[in-house]
Amino acid sequence: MKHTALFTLALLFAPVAASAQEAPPEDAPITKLPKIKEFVEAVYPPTALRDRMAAQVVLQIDLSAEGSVENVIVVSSATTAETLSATTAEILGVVRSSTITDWGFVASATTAVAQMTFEPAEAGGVPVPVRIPFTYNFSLPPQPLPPPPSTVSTATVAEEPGPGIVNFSGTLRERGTRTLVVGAVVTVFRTEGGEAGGYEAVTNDEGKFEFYDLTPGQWKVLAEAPGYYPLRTAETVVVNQATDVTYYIEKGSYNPYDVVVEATRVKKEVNRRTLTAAEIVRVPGTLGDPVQVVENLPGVARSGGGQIIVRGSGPQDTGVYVDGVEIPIIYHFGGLKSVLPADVIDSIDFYPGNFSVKYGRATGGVFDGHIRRLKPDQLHGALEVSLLDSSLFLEMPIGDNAAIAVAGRRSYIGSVISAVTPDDASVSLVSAPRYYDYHVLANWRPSAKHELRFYFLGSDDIFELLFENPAEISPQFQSANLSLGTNFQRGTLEYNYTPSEKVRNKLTLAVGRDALGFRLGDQFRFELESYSFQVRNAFDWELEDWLTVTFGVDYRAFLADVEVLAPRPPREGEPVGNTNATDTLFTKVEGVWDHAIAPYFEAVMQFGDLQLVPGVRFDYFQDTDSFSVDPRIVARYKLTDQWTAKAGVGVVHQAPEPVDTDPVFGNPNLALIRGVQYSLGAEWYPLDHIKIDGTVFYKDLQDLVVRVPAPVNVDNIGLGQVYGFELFLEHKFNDNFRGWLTYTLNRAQRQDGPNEPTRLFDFDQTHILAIVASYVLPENWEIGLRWRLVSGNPYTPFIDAVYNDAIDQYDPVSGPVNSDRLPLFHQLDLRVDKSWVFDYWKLTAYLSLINSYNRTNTEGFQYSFDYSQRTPIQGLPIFPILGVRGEF
Amino acid sequence: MKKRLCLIALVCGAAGCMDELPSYNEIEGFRLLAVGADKPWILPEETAEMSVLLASDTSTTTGVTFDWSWCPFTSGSAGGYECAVTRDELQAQIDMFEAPVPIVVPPFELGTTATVGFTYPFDELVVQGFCDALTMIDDVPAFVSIPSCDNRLPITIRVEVSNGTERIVAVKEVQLVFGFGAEVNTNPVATGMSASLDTNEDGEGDGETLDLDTPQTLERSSDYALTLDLTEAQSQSFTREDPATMMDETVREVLTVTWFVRGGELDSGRTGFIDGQVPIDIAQSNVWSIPAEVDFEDDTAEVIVVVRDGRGGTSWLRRTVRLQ
Repeated sequence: MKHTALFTLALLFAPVAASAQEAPPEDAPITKLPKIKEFVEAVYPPTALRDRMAAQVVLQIDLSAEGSVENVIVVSSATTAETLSATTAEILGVVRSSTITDWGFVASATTAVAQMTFEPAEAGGVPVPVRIPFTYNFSLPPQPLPPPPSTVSTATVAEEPGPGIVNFSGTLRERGTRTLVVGAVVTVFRTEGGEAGGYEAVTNDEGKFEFYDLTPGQWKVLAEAPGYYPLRTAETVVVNQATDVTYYIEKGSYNPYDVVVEATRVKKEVNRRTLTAAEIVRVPGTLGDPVQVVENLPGVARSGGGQIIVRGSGPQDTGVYVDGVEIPIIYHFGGLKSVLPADVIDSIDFYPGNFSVKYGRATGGVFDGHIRRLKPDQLHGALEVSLLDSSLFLEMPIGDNAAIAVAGRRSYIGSVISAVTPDDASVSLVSAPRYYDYHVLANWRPSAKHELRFYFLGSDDIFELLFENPAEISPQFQSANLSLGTNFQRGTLEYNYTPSEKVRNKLTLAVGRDALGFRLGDQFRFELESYSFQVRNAFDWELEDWLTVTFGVDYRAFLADVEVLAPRPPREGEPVGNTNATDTLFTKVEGVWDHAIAPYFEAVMQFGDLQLVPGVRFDYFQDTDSFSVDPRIVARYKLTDQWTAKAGVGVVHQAPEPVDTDPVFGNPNLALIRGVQYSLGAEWYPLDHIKIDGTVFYKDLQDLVVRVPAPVNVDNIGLGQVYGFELFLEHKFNDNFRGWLTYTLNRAQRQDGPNEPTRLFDFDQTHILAIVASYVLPENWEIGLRWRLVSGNPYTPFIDAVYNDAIDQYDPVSGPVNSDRLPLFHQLDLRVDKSWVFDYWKLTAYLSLINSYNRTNTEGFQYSFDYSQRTPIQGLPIFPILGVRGEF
Repeated sequence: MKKRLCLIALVCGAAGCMDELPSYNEIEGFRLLAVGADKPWILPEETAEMSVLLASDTSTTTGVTFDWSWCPFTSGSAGGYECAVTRDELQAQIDMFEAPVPIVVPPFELGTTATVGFTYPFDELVVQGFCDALTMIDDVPAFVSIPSCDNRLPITIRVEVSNGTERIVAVKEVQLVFGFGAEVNTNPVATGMSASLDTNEDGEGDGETLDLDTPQTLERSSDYALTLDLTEAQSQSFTREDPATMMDETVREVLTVTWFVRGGELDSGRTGFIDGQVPIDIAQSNVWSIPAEVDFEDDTAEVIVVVRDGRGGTSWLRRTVRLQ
């Protein structure tokens, strides 16, 4: 295939605009012609290739003063059928095909040209915008070589007199995935009477090929497609019979990173990190979990499992969404796995700060997982078995416009614990710890304008213990039964209406039920049952080329029953000591409604290279009966093709935790927590596949809820400041390698009142470095690593202890809050994947080695009974996880 | 202890492991095991005799000094239970009320002997008024627990003991009871202990029952099933308000037995009785593994139990045996 680009810098060539003070006069002569810096090859339209059509597309291109393509105008397009050379015709004969569609040359040429970059034209030494003519020639590639000389020497094939009867047809699919292969060349040939002859066809959009009126007998078949190994086989054509076959052609590489190629979304934020499911599952040490992988992104602290700590904010301060719908719990027990298996998601978006006004009620960051958009093509499925759990995913088309999928996962770690628990242990596992989650996904797209999506998520965790001798566990236990359970469901219906290219509306309705419970006999209990209802609507309207506005509303309501009998829960910054289990409080609320509604408005304004995204969000919180106004703005300025500067500032508000507004445990008169987020940074793309992103940030937190003397209990007198720098260096998949490096330099501090001393936040981690890398090897092997180096968390030392006879324990006496720090954490996780590809399915085995050099990381301290001695609590030692995954 | 290790092993499976620290229940060095009051709840004009249970791996606790004090409210655990007010400050506060009868705050210091007496310090009306006042003041420091004032006010007895090289501070709450007909808690009492060889290691003695209340000799390298003479009757019934229903309910005390040994190790560090959930035989039973070698010159070992009722009642029993 040969495409030639010809651009003639002729008389037509002239400055078309002037900008900035240095711009020359409009009649200034051009002193330097533009020159192609980066050529982008157009995709040869498969149907044109199939039908041996060539074309010449004449365009006019508006180039900016920076050399980027601003506009492409089609002047003319001419297509011609290839005239086969006598030699080719003699050898291969006439190629037939059954499907003829639009050639697609113009679209392909304009798409390619729009991506090209040029060295700008200059007038008087000053870069100027110009309009240039540009001709793109689509020249047909040479025909595939005939079969080896040993089988074909010469060919004499007469042209057929018009369409005949299809007696050999087939479908070409990718081996392992059964994906249709489009644009592949299928050749049939044989030697008759000492002369070789053959025919050629190109697979259409449905992967099909057809041959007419093949003479009976055996034919050799050769199927070739770019990126695939050639397939050679033989078929026998029988008189008065049609032969229909399906061929499975093996891909050159099954690395996961080139399976899905999506257009990059326009960035409107200072920092938005998007990871696709294919990227997520191979990150070592994260067990392929979409949420755990977030810990490897800039601004996220190492939590030790089960929490997302973003830019010095508490875990409850980061919004967790699934396609914009809030979910109550993101992790299963223990924080090893989230409730979202990678099979059900397309990607995740993570915003460490300065997020859009469509998100709110969070002063930290935002995590939004995007549910897989099903494709109604064929049946797909996957079964994965690992040492922790097993999961199943099944997707099937329903007609041409709809598809449905179900997925489920269940752990069996509890069974392992049960098996190793001695019979005479003083604890019985009534319900061994286990989790499962289940999912239903559906898509229906009756027309290009309308799309309906449905997603149902259910999660269930349970853990029940029966102590034979509870006093052995704690002298304060006054009950023998301990149970812990979470169970929730969310059903989401999304309707996308796109009446035109400029207007789009997205309506999301979600209903859910949450049941969370903890009980220690009659001594402690926390029981919550709630029903939630969420509505989101976003109306996007492109008013002008430079202006798109969004009007939205974000409504959430809960109807809850809560009953709590427990001591006051410890707060951030409070030292971990003994809790007096007899000092319990009780609260109970039934049928309480909590509404929160937030209309918002956002505009995306493009002024040349400057993009401004101002927005404002108005929140009403019923719980605190308060309103807030959150203005936010983000600016991005494209300095060059490689450099973009960016900045953002925004106000965020968040309601206090429900326990803090409870009249018994907290203070019903609390106000909202307020934050102001600032960030300033730059992105640099030194190469196509390399991105370097640096951001400095500052977050000012006000009205934080802190403990105060009874009977007020808690009040909005806390302050916080977080500041730091984030670096993100990404190597996109190229030369079989992908990876990223993140480094965060960070300081997060709190003040528990205006006159209180400043102290460190519980999760303040000065240095957070993560390196993630994967390398794809031949024969479908892949190796990956993750290495982390993180400052230890601050902690409050104990300086003395007093024996308390009432609880038969020593009570520690604390030193200054968070005045010491745990040792540096570092850990290397490795992963090896090997895939075997069969016709209908693919099998992958993986070995993940967590903490591969068996680093002894200190996660805290265990103290002697009188706190005079301590020993480090060590993190997970070297820990292998073996898994097998089959998919079709 | 062995069973506890099984649990620790389970936890270790999920979160790494740690080095072993000194056992709470195996006595090494100078130890304070309990603070007792012969009357954990005292009525007006009554006196509680305060004492401490000390133990040492040298089997002697001579040369120990004591410093007792009481305090109406302390700085709490975070502040080491230091008294939050001085006697003079408290006296000044009380004097502001111009009571019809002078109210004198007794000294906080209680003495420096091994046992001291603490006498109900005020008229019960003053105690009740003091309790009610605490519930009404808005700016009580955060570390002060607001008492429930249901016929009693807790005060803190604090003792500092030292053997010259080591110092231990301990606290115990004593309840000042007020109001007509108020319930009074008493200490749970274990009356005796016996041991029996546990040759088949099932936790139940299958040898001759040895009454440890009389001098006995136990075999080294043996496991002994211990049985404490503790009856369900030691678990008093009492009335409390059910927080969910706001109705009074009658429940029984939870008994907790803490076991200590000087020499060897125990199967369980603590045992307990919970009415309707954990039977009394669980609280009574333990297994003592006596090692081949005991590090004491006198060829003796010791087993000590402390029984608590969860409402301030504490008593103890200690038995010394000879080893062969």
